[in-house]
Amino acid sequence: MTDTYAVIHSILTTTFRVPDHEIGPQVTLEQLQLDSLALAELALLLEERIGVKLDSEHATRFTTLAEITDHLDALRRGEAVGAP
Amino acid sequence: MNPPGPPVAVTGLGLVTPAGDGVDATWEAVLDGRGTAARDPLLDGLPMDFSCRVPLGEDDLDRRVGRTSWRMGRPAKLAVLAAREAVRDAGLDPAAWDGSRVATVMGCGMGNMEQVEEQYRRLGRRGPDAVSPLAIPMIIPNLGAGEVSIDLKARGPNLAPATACASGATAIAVARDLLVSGACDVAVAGGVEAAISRLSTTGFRNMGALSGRTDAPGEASRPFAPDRDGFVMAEGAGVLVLERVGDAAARGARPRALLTGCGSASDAHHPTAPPEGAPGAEAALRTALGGAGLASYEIDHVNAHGTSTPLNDATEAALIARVLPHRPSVTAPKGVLGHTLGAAGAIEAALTVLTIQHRLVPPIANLTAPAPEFDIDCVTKQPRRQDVRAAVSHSFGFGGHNVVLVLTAP
Repeated sequence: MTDTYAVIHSILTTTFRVPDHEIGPQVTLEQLQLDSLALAELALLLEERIGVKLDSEHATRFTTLAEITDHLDALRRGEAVGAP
Repeated sequence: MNPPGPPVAVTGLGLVTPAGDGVDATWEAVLDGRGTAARDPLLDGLPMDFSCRVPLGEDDLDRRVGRTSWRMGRPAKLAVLAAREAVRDAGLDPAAWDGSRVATVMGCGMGNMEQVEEQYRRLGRRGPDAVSPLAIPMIIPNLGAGEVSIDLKARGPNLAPATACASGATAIAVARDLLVSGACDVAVAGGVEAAISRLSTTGFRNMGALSGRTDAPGEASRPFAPDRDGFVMAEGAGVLVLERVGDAAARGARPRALLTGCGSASDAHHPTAPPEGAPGAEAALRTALGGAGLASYEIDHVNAHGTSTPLNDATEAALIARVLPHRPSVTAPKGVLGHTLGAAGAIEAALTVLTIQHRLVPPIANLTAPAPEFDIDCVTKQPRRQDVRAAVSHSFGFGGHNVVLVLTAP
């Protein structure tokens, strides 16, 4: 169990001011009203906080927060990750 | 000389300034006449380490702006808050209006200098991938205008005039033209600046423009004082809602004041210094009076550009004494607010509207008596109760930009 999801949650509520009740593992980025500029900023903030880079292939409008968490956790374990 | 043109109505005001969050807070503090400059942690270790800051932290601003704040730099946030207040004050509802007929004109002289430096620091220390994808939208000077238009769903003409320290006044003059030409029915017009940074402050300091009173920042900005020694960096936003007089009357809106004349003229002389005798400023003043159809003796009050620099105030005092020799009252809000650069012309137009409305002229902060060689009637120490039927507001900017607005009682 890593803190990845908690970090994502914290960035969404503080930087992006998403209300807590809108956030959940099965929610997609589109449902959170995050556009491509927002996703690029999110990726930068995540890299600053947890040291791995979320590339745009793994963060589309239809990606859920759970999928992003799994992907980032795999990167943090040092696993090679292919295209989704 | 311009023939007199139709006046436009000022139906709403919005202010976010070092004196306070909102029109009422700012007006009270400006009437109080105390300087707002204080030590600025961002400027730690620099020879000039003080400024006038809007008393709202980044988190307060973000909460107020809401869900879109993540993508905005500080200038855009200040602009959005001031514009919302102005539109609310005008009794207009962006959810209900025809946005295609609403213009947004927000002057900005510099842009988000602090982010320029922050992103450049990231590039140098951590490499290209550490530079925010928001760097450009946070930095460019037109995003105050851009974010206001998005926030208000204003889809008409959208401009960000850059005439340095006259930008806010230029925006109001341009907005008036857009209304008179029929390009829009409502204009949300003003200025914003949040450009206090280590580089901008040092740059102004090294050209000799800033006050060096580091031991007493609150007393540093002292327009027209014999011992003035420069301006104080400040940030803020001011917005006016303008409409044609007939349109305002038709919807039952009571104008706070009328904008009856605008004059713009260039020095065509030097990047940063006014020419001897300030012919550009005088031309702007005379054009504004002509446009308003007023004789000079009909001006009751002058909102001076009054930066507290030795050269500006001497040139401007001479201009006022020459063109308006009947000694109208003179105030200079930069004593309280510092110099908000591209926002100043709009903030001070709003304060001039309030002076007309409340029949009260705010005093010039830190001034007991103007320099003896200035033959002008500066208001000092406490507000002066005065019937003001017609007032002018001066704004002058590096580049030789001179803009004068005439505001009158409705």
